[in-house]
Amino acid sequence: MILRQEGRTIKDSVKFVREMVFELESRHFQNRPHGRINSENITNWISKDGEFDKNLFNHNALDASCFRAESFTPDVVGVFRLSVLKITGNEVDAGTPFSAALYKTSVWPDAFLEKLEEFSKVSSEKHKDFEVKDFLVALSETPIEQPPTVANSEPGTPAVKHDVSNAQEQAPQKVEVPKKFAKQPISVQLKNGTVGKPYEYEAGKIAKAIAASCGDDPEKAFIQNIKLPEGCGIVFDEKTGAISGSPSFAFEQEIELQYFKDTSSEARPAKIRVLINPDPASLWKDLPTPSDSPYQKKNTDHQFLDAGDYQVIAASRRGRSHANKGDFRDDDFSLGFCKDTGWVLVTVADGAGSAKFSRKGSQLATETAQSRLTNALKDSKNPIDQLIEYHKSWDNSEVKAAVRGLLYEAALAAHYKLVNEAKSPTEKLPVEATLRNFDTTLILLIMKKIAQGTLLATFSIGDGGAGAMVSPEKGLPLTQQDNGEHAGQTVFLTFPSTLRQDEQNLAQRFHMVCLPEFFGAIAMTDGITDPKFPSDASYSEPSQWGILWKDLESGLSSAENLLEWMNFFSPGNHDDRTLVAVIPKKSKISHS
Amino acid sequence: MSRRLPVYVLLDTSGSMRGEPIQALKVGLQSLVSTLRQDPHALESVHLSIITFDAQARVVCPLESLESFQMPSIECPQSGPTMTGAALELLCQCVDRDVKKTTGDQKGDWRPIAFLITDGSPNDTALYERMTAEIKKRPFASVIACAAGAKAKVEPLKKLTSQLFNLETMDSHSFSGLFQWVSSTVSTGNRSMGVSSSIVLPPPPPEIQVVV
Repeated sequence: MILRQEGRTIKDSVKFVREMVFELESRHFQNRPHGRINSENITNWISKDGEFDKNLFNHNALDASCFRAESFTPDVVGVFRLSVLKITGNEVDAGTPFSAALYKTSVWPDAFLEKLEEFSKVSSEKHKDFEVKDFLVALSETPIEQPPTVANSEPGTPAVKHDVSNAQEQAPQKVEVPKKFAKQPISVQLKNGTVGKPYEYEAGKIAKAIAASCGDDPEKAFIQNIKLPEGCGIVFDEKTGAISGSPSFAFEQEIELQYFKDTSSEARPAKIRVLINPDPASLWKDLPTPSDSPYQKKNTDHQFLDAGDYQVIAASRRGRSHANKGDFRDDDFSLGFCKDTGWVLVTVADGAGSAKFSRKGSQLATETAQSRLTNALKDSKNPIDQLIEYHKSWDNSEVKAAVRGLLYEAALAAHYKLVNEAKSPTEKLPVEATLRNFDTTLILLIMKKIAQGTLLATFSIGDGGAGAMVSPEKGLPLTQQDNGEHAGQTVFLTFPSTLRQDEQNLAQRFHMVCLPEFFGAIAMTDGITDPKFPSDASYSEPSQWGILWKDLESGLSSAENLLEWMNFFSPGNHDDRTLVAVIPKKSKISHS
Repeated sequence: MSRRLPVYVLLDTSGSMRGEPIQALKVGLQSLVSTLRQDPHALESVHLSIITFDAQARVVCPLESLESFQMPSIECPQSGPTMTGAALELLCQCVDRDVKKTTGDQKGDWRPIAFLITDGSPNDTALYERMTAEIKKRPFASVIACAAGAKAKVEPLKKLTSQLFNLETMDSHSFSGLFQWVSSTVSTGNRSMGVSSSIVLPPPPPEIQVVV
């Protein structure tokens, strides 16, 4: 007998294999996985009396932490096919599937070998015609008394038999279970942890996993002396066998321990493997932007604007994901106030992270649109104000068409500014630029106090958003976000389709309202909307705006404080952040 | 729950990969995971799945967060065909099942990235042809194929993707170079882009040749 483990040997290899195949078949039939069937593993399933230990097998097969469930092969016939491949003379090592065990066996029933021969002669497509039970029946037949050898094989003996005997001569050296494996302590992989997050590995689970792979009684087994790294924050409780705590540093380590199969037996070395991830928050780097790149931009920006009836507070901050790589801030904003007419103009833009010069794209887009709007609205004789005055109302199709036309033209002007920049860049660029290098979103918000209340109009391309507070607890979205099916998918000002002059396109980009009660307006990039509005539904939910408004309270006292507020931490949301708030001067929120 | 960046790694485990190549590949894969774990953005967003293919394609590791990902054991059979088509079919099934789209109540995942590494050519050519067309219908931000070693055939891979690379030798040095580069590519996967654009790949290291 060749297969050994801890002094255990297979008594009757035919019986052993037959029972194992029965068990395999039943697992496959139930669509359950099992561990890899190779000689390394088979040695673990030998019971004390040399039989196939069904419970041990099922225990191992179930415990993925101990034996990775690898084989999902739905046909047991495949196992036989592999065995034929091996028996016909390929090299075999301890990692070779199932057949390695067949290989080492000295005695096979004739019927079984004949069946295998038949099986090996047909093409692989026909293997499925073979029934496992036929092999099993063949295996049940009385084995021949003597192992076939080349010497005593007679002419005309089936080829497979020859191969088996040849194989036996070559096999043993190659098939021998490596000594280091047999002696190697069993290793159990624990679930991963993360610094700062509570960690708990249930009591007894490690001992049970080791017991299962050694064939010991999992109820009696226990472990001791786990030497976890000093000060790592998680501890092993000798009494309960649990590992728990809050990891304080990251490590990946194999840790030795003592395993006892019961209270009366001696310690046996075993190992656990533990991986503790670093706390993502601790990994962010704040790298400077390259000083030799074109289109330099400050990492933060903030502005306070006294705008007649309103105060405008704006801030923009480079996102952690940009700072971590030394990338520029791609967001931008631009503010305007027409003191003769009372119009307040807000523009925010988010340059695409995937576009090379989007930092310039967002800057040009906001500046261009803002100056265009300022020029159109600064004069008291401007057509919009005249129309409102003429109709004595804002709620009029002529007024709406004029406002929409104005905003559209401002966006169009911004688009052409980018087209020109790509054609003849204002700075020396290392490569020829394309329009797509300047990809950016754009949100325009214009507002003023009129007789009926506060008039607000928006035009938006891309994600991010704008909204107005109708009470301190409730807000209305003023834009429709262009969100794709997947994260990060949006549209940009650089896409001609976003400026198509058809009703459907323009209607979804333009919004206009007049609020008799007005508490504030916000325009922001997706660095703020993503963490603050976790879904499209929440963006339309008035109370969600109320939550953001309350959250913002500390930030709205000054532009510096807003910049500070923007540093909030939200897992997975580390984009650039830009927010502009317009607050009526009589608002409860005081400004210092 | 924050948006996930699904990354599928498809590894050729056919017989020719046996020995040093598969060992080198495993070391490379391990270094990919370790490198990504040092990138905070990746640690919060990357979800990894490993698919192997030889005579059969299997998911040896279903989509799992980088935080809880554990390296599966990867084995090579002695010999046998390379069912690349079956692997792509399995990839499509996984993407259809795993990758979340934006709905009113949830934000969609980042568009998935797939890396395929092979040292041969597909044996299931008809299925492979069909699946290259299917892959194009899926929302991949990037499909990157790497032909490793002298016997790898570049032509069939051209049908799958234009982001095609050649690795001349299959030792640990080459594979770790490849996976370092893969990790920098993955790190660019979670940023905003147009609806249908592909991510721009960082320049590959010298041991990897761009196939044009």
